[in-house]
Amino acid sequence: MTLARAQRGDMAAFEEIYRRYGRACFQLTLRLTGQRQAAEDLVHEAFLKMMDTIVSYRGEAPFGAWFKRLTANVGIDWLRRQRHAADTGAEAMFEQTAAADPDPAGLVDADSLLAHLPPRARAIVVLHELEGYTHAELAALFGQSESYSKSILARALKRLHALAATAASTSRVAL
Amino acid sequence: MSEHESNFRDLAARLPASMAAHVPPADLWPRIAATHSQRRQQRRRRRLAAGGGVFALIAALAFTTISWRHAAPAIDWQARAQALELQLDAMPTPAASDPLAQLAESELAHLDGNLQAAYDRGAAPRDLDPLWQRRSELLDALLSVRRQQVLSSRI
Repeated sequence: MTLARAQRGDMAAFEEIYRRYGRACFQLTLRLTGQRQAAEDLVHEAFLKMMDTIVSYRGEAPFGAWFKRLTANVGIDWLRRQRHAADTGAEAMFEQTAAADPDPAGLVDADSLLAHLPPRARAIVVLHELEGYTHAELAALFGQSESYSKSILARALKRLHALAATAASTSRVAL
Repeated sequence: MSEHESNFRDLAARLPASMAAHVPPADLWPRIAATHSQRRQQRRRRRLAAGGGVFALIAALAFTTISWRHAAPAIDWQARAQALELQLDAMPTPAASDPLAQLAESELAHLDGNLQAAYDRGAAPRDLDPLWQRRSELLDALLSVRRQQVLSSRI
């Protein structure tokens, strides 16, 4: 009912969709970007895109999944536009961020751990581990091979576990 | 990599829940709605402008077509029929008549009767014109049949 009204351009229906999916959309963009302002901009962009393209939504997939994919694509487009996330090999990508030694006190939860990954690695972890994207899909989205996506993911997970271990040992010492 | 390191969900589950409020700001929806309305108005204006352009183009085309039609000389079917008849007369009379030619000749005779009757009742040119056009077409067909017959007889 809401979707049908939204497809006719009803603003009240769009608002209802925002109330239902706005938060999830924001969480996804925040995880993808690691920046609150960028996440807001992407939610803005994703909703405008959804409002323009909802007419073409035919219900083949649940609306939530359809919109989540649209949001992820908006996030990936943003990543592509970022200079620091330009195409680099897995090695170089992690070397660039290794220099910055994070404060273990700041590594309190999964999201703060994610923030210490290079942007593209963070996106691959979020999309693969949390959103269920396959390596084949990620390879297509980033214009790379599947082995590239697998390699980035493996390194990213290794980095995350190392950071979590550092944080855990620090807190034990502090105790 | 050990097995426990292979999954981000497992790692996240062992850590405390995120402290940060992952909630979009309250004014985000009003901003989105405002941008959407603005874009919709812009699109409407563009469509109106484009529609106006298309209307102007169609009007210009219609005007040109009408002017051209008025300017184009009408075909003088009577003169054309008379010219074809002269050509037909100049051709040798075939030994045996073709069935198609017979059909055309019979319709021509009927049409001549109609033409005569139209002139007798003082018909206007717009009523006479279609009759002369039909006569011209029949003569054209007859001429083609005769030409074919001449060619066949030479072979």
